[in-house]
Amino acid sequence: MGGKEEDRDPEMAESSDEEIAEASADPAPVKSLTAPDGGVWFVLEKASLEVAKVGKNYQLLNCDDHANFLRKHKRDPAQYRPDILHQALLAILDSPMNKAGKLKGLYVHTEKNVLIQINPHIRIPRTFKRFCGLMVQLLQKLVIRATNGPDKLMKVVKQPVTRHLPIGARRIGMSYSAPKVVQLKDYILTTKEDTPLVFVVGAMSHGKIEVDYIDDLVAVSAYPLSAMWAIARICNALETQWNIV
Amino acid sequence: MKKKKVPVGKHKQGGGKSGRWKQGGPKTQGGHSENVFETLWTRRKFDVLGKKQKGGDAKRVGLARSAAVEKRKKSLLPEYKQRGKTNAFLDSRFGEHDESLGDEDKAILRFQKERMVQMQKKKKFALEDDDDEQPTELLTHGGNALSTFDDFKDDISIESDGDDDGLNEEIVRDLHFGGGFVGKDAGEEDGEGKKRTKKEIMEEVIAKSKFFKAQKAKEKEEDHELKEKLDADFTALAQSSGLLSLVRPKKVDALKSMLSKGASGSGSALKALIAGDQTLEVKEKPDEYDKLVKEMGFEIRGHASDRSKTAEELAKEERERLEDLERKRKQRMLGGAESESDEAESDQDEEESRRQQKKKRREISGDDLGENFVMEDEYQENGWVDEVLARKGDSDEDEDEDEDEDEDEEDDDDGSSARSEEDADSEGSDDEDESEGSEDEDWENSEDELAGIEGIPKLSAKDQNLLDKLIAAKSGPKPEEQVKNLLEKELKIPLRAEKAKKAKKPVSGGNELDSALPYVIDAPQTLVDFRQLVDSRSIKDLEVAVERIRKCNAISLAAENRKKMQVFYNVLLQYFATIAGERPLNLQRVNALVKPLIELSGETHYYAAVCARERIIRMQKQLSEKLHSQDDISSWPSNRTLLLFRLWSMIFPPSDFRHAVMTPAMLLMSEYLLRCPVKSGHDVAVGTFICSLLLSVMRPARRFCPEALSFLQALLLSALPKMNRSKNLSLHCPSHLVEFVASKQWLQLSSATSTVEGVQPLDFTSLLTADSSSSTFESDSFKVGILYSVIKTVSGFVEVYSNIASFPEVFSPFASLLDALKNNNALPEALMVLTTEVSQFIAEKVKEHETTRLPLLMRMSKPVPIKTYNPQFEENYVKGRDYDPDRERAETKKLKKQLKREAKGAARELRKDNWFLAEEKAKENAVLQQEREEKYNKAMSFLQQQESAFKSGQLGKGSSKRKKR
Ligand SMILES: C[S@@+](CC[C@H](N)C(=O)[O-])C[C@H]1O[C@@H](n2cnc3c(N)ncnc32)[C@H](O)[C@@H]1O
Repeated sequence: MGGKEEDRDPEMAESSDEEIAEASADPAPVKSLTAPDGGVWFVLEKASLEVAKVGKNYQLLNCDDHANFLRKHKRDPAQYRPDILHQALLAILDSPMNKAGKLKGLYVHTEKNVLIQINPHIRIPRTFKRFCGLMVQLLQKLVIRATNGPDKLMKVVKQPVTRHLPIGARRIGMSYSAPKVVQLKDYILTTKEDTPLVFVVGAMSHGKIEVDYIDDLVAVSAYPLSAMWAIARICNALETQWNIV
Repeated sequence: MKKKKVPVGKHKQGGGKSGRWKQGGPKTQGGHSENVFETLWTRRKFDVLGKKQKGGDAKRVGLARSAAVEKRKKSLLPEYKQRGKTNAFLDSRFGEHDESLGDEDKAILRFQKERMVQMQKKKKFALEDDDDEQPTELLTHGGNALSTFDDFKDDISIESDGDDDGLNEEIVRDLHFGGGFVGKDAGEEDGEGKKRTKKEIMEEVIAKSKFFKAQKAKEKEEDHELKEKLDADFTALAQSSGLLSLVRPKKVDALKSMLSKGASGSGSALKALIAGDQTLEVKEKPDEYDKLVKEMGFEIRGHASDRSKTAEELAKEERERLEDLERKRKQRMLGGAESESDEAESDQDEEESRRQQKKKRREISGDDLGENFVMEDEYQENGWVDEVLARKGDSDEDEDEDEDEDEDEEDDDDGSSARSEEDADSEGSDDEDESEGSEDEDWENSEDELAGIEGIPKLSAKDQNLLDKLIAAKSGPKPEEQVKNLLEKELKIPLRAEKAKKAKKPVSGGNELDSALPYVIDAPQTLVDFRQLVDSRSIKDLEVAVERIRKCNAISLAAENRKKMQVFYNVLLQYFATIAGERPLNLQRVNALVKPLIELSGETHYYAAVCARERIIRMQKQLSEKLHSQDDISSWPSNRTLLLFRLWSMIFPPSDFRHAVMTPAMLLMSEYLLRCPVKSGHDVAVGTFICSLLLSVMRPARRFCPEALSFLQALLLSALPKMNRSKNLSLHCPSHLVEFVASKQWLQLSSATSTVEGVQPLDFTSLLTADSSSSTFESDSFKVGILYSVIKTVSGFVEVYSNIASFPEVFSPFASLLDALKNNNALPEALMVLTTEVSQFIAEKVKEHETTRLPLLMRMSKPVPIKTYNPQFEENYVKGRDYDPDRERAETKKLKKQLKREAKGAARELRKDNWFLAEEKAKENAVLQQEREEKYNKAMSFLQQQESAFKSGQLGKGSSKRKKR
């Protein structure tokens, strides 16, 4: 009868909206907000993660596969670069630093203003295609679980990211256009040994990170680097400091 | 239409979290005036590209709600109203359900209808004067209104008698009731038709049938005439010579006889001809031509054949084959080949478990694709070789490759070619085996045993029997045919024989014996036979003879030749052994036998292996007997043994991990070195020879041979004066060996001054055949020669073992020995150079090894990386789909969900129904209440009126009257 139709098939965005609210409603256990032995947090800003309905199914938009689609919808294909995020995640999660358990938290903030919490124990798919599949599912289900464990490996969480970052951490933004170019090894020596470090790196192709929560904005090289290499620099510096071989 | 305002709180989306009201600008949709209060708006957080929004952003809640109420008014309300009633009043008055009509209009309409009915009632039996009015009652026939039928002018066929059809409404009406009025209905009439009577119609029918009959008869007649004419034509034609010339002769008679039947049979003439033709066809033999044609039909028109290969392709194939062989050799070197055939098939389980182990062991590398991408066949078949061996082999293999080539070149060319031949044959062996299925079981069994190496001890008795049997077996006389074949073959390939003949002519001159060497030689079955044949002949003749025997009895020619050739092989080997043992050694003659022997072993490799093993077993027995005997005889092997070893090392691949012949041969050689006391210079020479033989055997696979190294050390030690020995020489050879070998200064040069100028390469043959007590062994030149070859051998070993981990330990004694040698003896120039070279090389290598050595470490536990988890996700994920791998469970889940949803929906609908009904009831009640109130009020007002009247009016008068009273 009448009225019934309206209850069915909730729109995706709408329901996700709700679920975000729900997911963030539960008191997110911000564990290890204080790290006794230091540790490092990463925030990847301005990641380009957007799902669209291409043809019949939902896909992660990227400039290679969806150039025409994006042009049709009057978007700039050059802005759609989830591969940067893929590389960056691989660089962080595969680093010896992470293997040694020094990575305490990893957050991805997308261009579309979704905040994703990533468990350092996750094994990111090696191939880009599979990575896209993972992201599509994450953005629809808002949570990704492990195949071999109960843990939630990825989760869409409530904004802002600062509520997930440790107290008293030193938050360092990375940008090529930063006024000071530093040798990261020496730079991190200026902070106390057990101060948690938060690095904010951009996962976008152009532009610079625009966030208000960073304490400092530095460049780690005189050259413009890819996000992956900026991360590699950070990891290397930290590994030498922490004697991780 | 009524629209309801839906209060916010009652909204079913509830909660107010996502359902929000948005004051959009007025929109018009489908003609409805938009009421913003009836529209539900949803705010979208993301605009998902490519997703179509159903019906825009707004949901028109109020509209839907009022629509639902309307619907209930139509369906539920009447039912509610009828609830207490058993029958219903159906109001089917005109215009009752037409809402567009007012009461007035309805009344007018009804009036109209009534009048019309009245009019038509009159018309029933009245004359029709207007066509546009529909008759109220229709007469029908077959479901069709009769008025639709027309006047049957077309329907009446000739055959039908038209009786029934004639009497229809029109006729009835017109003729029976119409009072003779005809022709007033313009559509129905056509004047004439009406006037046709029954009689007329009948007449017409009869006439028509008659006409048809006549027509038929006429046609028949015409056909008949045509046929007759045709027959006549045919007879005329047949009688003319034209047809006769076309008909085959045998059929002519038939035709003629047929013709003779004359015109009477003309009708059946053709039929008979055809029938006759068929019978004839069956009876008569197919003539030549037909046969030919048919055969040609079956003949195969040319065969598809393989394209002849180009030179490149052939070269490529050859290359591939060689590569394949090399790969197999490598595998055998590691011992993988045997294991595969032996074990891989038998215990699958073990393999399975190993595979699992391997999987478990496999660490996830940095770039691993993760669990989902594990390939099934990652496991490499590595055979059962112990890990240690495999690892060693691996490290060796790479360098082996190029060196092997060199080695082979250094070796006799025969050696390498023999090996490859051998390999090639071992591949083809299976086919051969099958072809010789006729042979007795024993033989095959022993072959199998040989193939698997385990049979070393148990093989002997059986095989000895076999050998005896084979040797004893006399092959029957060759069938004549075969000889012819052989001759033909000989003629076909006379090239070699011719060459050989040419070559031999100048040697033998017009020798009588030469001419006596027969072209077709049966394979000699005993050594005596063979010796008779070849003993007195030259080497060339010997070669030719062997060649001819092989050609005449080639295995490929006849099955029994295999047996013959096997016997012959044994004979040849015996002959080889005999002449190798002869005292002036005729090395050339021996050499001449090498090539055929190698080639023959390729052909009968199993047999060759059996022979070799038998001999090795016998040698070993002899050795142990000699060692145990108290006599003072030298236990060192004879020339024959040495030459046989050399021969086998050429025939069989020395690089195999385990080989039926080479492994025991190597062991035996080592045993000689280790157990035989050196009692003369001759023994020294023999030992040196064995060492170099061992080197050449060990080289391809880089096997470690401690015996040879120890022996060499001991020999070098024997070159030093006794008093110098013990000091700072750390030897790595068993003390008994020192006793055995270095008890005398076999190699110490007699004088401090160098008497020997150069180093002559030793003539081993003469040395070997020389008497052990001969004085040559005392001479300095001999000693220098031996030293030279010893050091050469050492350098060979150094080279071969340069990669083993224990190189410094193994070879540093050599370095010190060589240094001591240099210091203590006045060595000839060449020897000096060589010695320094080798010792320097050793020193270099030792240094290299020592620098790359790592100190012993405590076992370091690698830091354990954090555990990683694989994310669970689907490719092409669709929201809402169940990805449960258990389809059944997913299905039931889905159904349950659906059921729940439906139940909820139904409950909601029922609830809404109840609300609706309650509302209706309330309305009814309200109406009732009002009525009652009205009634009450009326009554009350009446009473009040009464009262007031009573008080003030007539009654009041009365009362006043009463008062007055
Ligand atoms: C492809 S770059 C974006 C380039 C952009 N023009 C900028 O100035 O940041 C992506 C990220 O890599 C990091 N990055 C690149 N070069 C860097 C540098 N020299 N020093 C520090 N960070 C750098 C920044 O975090 C940047 O957001």
